[in-house]
Amino acid sequence: MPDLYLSLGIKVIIYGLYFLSLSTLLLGKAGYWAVGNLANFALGAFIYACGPLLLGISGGLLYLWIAFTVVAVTILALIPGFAALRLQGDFFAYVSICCVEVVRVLVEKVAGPSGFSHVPRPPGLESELAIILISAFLFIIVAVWIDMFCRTRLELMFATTRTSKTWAASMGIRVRRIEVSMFGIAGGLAGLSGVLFAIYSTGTDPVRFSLMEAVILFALAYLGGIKSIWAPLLSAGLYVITTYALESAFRGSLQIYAPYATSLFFGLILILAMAFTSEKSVAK
Amino acid sequence: MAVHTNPPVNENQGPQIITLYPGLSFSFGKTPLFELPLSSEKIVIRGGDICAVFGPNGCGKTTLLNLLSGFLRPTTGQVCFGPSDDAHGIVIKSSAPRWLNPAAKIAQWDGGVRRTFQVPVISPDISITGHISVARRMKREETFTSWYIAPIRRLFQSKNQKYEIDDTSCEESEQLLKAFNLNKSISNPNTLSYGQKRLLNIAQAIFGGKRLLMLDEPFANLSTSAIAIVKQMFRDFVASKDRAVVLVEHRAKNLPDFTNGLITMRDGLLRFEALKGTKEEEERFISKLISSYFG
Repeated sequence: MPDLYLSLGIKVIIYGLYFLSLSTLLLGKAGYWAVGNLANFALGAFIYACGPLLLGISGGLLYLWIAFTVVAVTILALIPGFAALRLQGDFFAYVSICCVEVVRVLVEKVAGPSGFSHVPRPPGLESELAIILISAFLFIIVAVWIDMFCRTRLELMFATTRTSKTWAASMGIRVRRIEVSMFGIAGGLAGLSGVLFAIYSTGTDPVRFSLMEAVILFALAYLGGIKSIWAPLLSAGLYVITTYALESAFRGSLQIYAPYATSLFFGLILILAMAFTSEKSVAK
Repeated sequence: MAVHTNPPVNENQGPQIITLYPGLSFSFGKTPLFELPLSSEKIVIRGGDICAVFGPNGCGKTTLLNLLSGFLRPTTGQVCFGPSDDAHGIVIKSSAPRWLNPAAKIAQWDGGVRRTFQVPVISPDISITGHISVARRMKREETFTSWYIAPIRRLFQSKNQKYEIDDTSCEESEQLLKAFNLNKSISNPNTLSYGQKRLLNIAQAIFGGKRLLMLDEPFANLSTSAIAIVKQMFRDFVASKDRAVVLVEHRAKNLPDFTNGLITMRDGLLRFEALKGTKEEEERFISKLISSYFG
């Protein structure tokens, strides 16, 4: 039983990091419907897995590879960042969704339909306890940074840019620079959570990177709230615990179709939650 | 009434702030909107000037302001910020690449050029003092490292210190809010009236603008007393003779007692009329101008 709690706890923290990137930074600060931020998560997991499995990287070098992965995802995340300069609202969401599909197809082509498996963990992170400790440490560091960020004038710059790019530019705010930088930072953070996910699960299950999953996570980000530093943990908790409960419930009766049934049921729950949750009750 | 061509009017003329060169024109597609004919003199707005852009609806006043603030490029010709021999000046040319939007660069030019819009822009996520604070840019925020350093520095500052503006600026912003009768304790600026939102935008511009203010219909929806306050603010703003104000205004009665230059737009032509005389002389001149322009 404690193993189950540990496993759920790791997932909550890893997805908490992901939601810090999606809900707090991209939705809350930049104001973009970055449905496809899951592509960065997937890239983080995929690139990390490529290191030991395709390039033969092992031992302490894996830490260097993790750093390379995060930098690589940060750079790749600048691509939707540049797209954001020309696209807003729904149009950006469509482009973002396309990014998820492109990455999913890429992962499937390279890693096969079941994704990579038996991805080695770096030395020192073999146990789940070590993974939860390092994940929690990273979560706290990032959460404190974002909390402090919200008290600087950078927060004002983002609020101004969210309201009107023209207004922001008229006050000398370099809109392009701050938006693209935000996409880079949020992408790097999503990539880091993807790396931790690959380390924890020792694989890159493509089901976790699907379009349906991206939409569910986006809806949860909105439901959890975009302004509080605790909201990502709430969203992550909702996601991990509900998924676990639904999969456990369906596993006996539907066997291999359990993940699909879970997704469908999860989608239904979200539709009802979004429909009956007033805007005011969504955590700020 | 003495009517002068450019250069204008002030006896103690300040430095050149904006120069519109003959040949400047702007078109939407193939439809020409306005031009400064090659045969006319260049229009120079100097420190100490309060210049109004005047013309009928749809003649391109806001478009001219958009062009001057870098949101649009001229179709032909050029606009220059600062003296033409100034290495720090900015030139907006028709040949500038389409992707190069110089609005932020102009806003930061020489300490600050600020712009207000026809419809007041207010963010519900920013407090009243935050609105004022964000208008004054700090160079250190432009560096990417500030993203990492600013939050760490914030860790060691008191929670009461808001948004890292120094005490002098804080006092200055509070005086501005007081002058405009804006209550800084209002948490949601969306609850302000339309006129108050406009005043907040003007206060923002004055706080952030170190060199030039460009205001689109600043007196719209304001009470007579508020208009008088705003006019006095503009006079104080240009008093040091190194700053200028360019504004779009429809109501001619608001112009005579404080503007000293008019950019008129009629039949797609830009003209500069300098105003120098008593209030009554200027009123007579403007009403004559209105009747000759608009019938």
